[in-house]
Amino acid sequence: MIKKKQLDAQIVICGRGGQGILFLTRLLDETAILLGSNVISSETHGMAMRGGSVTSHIRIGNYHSPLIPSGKGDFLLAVNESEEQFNRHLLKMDARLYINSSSRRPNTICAEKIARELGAPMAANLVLLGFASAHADFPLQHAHIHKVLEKISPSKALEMNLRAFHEGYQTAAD
Amino acid sequence: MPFHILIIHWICIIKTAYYSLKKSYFLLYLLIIMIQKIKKETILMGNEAIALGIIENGCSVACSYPGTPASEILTSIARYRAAADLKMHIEWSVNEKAAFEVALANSYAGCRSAVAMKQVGLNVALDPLMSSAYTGVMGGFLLVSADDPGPHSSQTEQDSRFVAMLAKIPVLDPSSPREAHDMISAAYALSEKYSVPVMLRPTTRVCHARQNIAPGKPLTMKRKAVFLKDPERWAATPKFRYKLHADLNKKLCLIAAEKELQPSFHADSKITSKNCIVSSGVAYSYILDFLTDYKLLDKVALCKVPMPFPLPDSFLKSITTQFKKILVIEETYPVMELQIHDRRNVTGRLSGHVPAEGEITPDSINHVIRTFFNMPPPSLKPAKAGGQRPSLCPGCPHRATYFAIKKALPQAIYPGDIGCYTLGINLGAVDTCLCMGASINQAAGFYHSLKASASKHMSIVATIGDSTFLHSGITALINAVYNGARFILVILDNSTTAMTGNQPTAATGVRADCTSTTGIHFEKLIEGCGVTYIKNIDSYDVQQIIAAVKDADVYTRKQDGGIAVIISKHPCLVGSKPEQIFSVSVTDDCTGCQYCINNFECPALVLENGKVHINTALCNGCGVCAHVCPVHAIKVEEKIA
Repeated sequence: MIKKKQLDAQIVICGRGGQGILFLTRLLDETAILLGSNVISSETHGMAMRGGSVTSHIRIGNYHSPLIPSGKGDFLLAVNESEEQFNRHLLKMDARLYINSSSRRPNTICAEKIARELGAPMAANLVLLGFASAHADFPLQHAHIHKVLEKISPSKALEMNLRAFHEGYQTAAD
Repeated sequence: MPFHILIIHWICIIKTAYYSLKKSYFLLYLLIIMIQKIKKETILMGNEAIALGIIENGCSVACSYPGTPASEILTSIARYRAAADLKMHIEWSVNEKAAFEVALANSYAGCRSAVAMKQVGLNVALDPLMSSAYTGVMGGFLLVSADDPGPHSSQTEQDSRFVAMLAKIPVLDPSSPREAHDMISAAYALSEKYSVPVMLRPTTRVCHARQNIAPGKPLTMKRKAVFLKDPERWAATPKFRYKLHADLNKKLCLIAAEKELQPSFHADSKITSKNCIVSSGVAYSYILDFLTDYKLLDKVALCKVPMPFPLPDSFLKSITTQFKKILVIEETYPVMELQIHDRRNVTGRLSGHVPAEGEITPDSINHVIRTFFNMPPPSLKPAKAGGQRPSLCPGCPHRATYFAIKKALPQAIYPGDIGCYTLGINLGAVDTCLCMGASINQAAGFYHSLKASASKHMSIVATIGDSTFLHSGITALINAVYNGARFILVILDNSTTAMTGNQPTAATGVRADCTSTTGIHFEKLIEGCGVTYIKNIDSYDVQQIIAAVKDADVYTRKQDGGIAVIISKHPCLVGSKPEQIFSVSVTDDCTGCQYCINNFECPALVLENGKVHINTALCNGCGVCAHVCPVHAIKVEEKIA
């Protein structure tokens, strides 16, 4: 592998089967390679996907293995609020958390409500990612993710995906 | 990409690079990006990388039966095949044995083949594997057997490398998706050089990891399939089998010495150290990341084994004389560790230094290596136990069937099988889950067991999915009819292989390459097995299933009765947006008794402030829950189109 001196970030995405965790993982993976980074990630398939807990690990940088060791994660995106607690151990003390929640804790957004209002209840994942990408310290920029989202969205869902992603971004900016 | 967009794309990359990096690194960075762009790296899942490797090496027949974590291999081959308009034959075989034997014939005829399955699928294909090691092959034969340490989605966490050892064939153990991709050309070369099947053994963390990989080009070999008759080999009788075995043993010695596949030390590790860590597969990657992170790489000799079997004798001997302390870390069974003759200074799974069961993780590596270096244990925050258990989807036809079975015969024995519907365990309607097709044999077994010991007759209701029935239920049903067993068999026909990603079955009339074919007719098939009591019911018709199960129970007890088969059919909702038939709501009559949540477990039924509500985002409008509520508080209204 060519050693590259560039982005270094370890991101945990968690939620339940059917919430689009795999799509977010692929989206961030593709964004990282668009920027010329090495990336390796791991995801949950099979039986656990039937509404069960699902976690993805994304490691951008010079990593060889696909799992984030405990205490090394930089970021967490919780598409389901109650899954956050089961992934906390993976994070650094000063990790950034972005959570889909109706509570008014810092760094939370009620992605589900926003998605529902858009008429796309399944797009809460992209609302949350849009929200995260509005923060300056998020390793992948909004514009880059946007570009990949345009590329990998199925044509039927494209417009709604972009709207959900934008809406999350706007909510953070406001 | 049009030229002007390409220019904008590049300006964008250069700008990002310039602003996001120190200027001194800028040129180097740009150079790396340019190399990468020219190589056109793309992000690939391990299974996609394996599929690509197979396509790039001129494989002309690829077969598989879906199973986590191997399912996406053939799906991806189908995609790449269509994109490159290749002529290769691909198929979802009805089971792994069929897949293995179909692919093997292509290799007998001198062409390259691939067969992919999960580790327990290999048990089903063990018969042809053992024999094919003796007969050998002409064209390259790649067997991909994906292991599932953990296990995440399997009955066992068995190690396919042991099966390779048992069959006496070489096995390659990739440590990442990229390596899995790259190993395939070596595997085919090895297979053809020694006329032997070669196993690639990825694990879940290789199959379902994604990594940036530079794909090559699809290759169509200019070979014609020619089967050269050689009965002493292809149809060898026991006398000639002995000779073939001797040949195989000779091959193994030569394979073990293959230069390209020797164990090697990481260049940045300390080869002169007295301590050595030997590893293979994804465990090696965890170790490398750990040693790099904690700046320990230059304190130990780190040895990577690409081919855990056969290992060269010279290596197995020299390693114990060269080093004072050796730590072997591998998944999932101690395959390499057992091959080391003198294990006095060796620690690993056998010595108890590496947990004897379970998946190896970065955290377990952390503990094990710290112990090896006599360092204090890490202070890791423990993972909080719990999380949501998986359950059948909202509107899943299986849920309706299970609810009806439970309602009709609450005291019955419920032998279950392998698939989504194993989750019927949540509804209390699955009592056993052994292996593919076992539900039917076990139902027969329970019947004979009760009868033989003159125990009280009990109702037995076996459930099996459509794909699993075709996989290994048919022979079981024939056996049950032949030997006079009596039970109810409910075939849960959702017209797909749902659990593994909705692959078509032999009954759906669609093949792996999307061409259409005549689907197997379940009723005629079952009739042909000697069953006379067969009923077809829509899975959503709970009342009718309840009545049918009760009626079938009477039939199994009748003097001239036998096995009763109910085909409960309704298509799977995954992947196809179901038409909502009903809009469902809960009235104020809800007493909050939670009977529906506990006995029906639909994710769309949620408890809020002591009463049940419908989560409309999840509800698929099947309306079945209306039959469930004991106080009739769930109302369904037909949707007007």
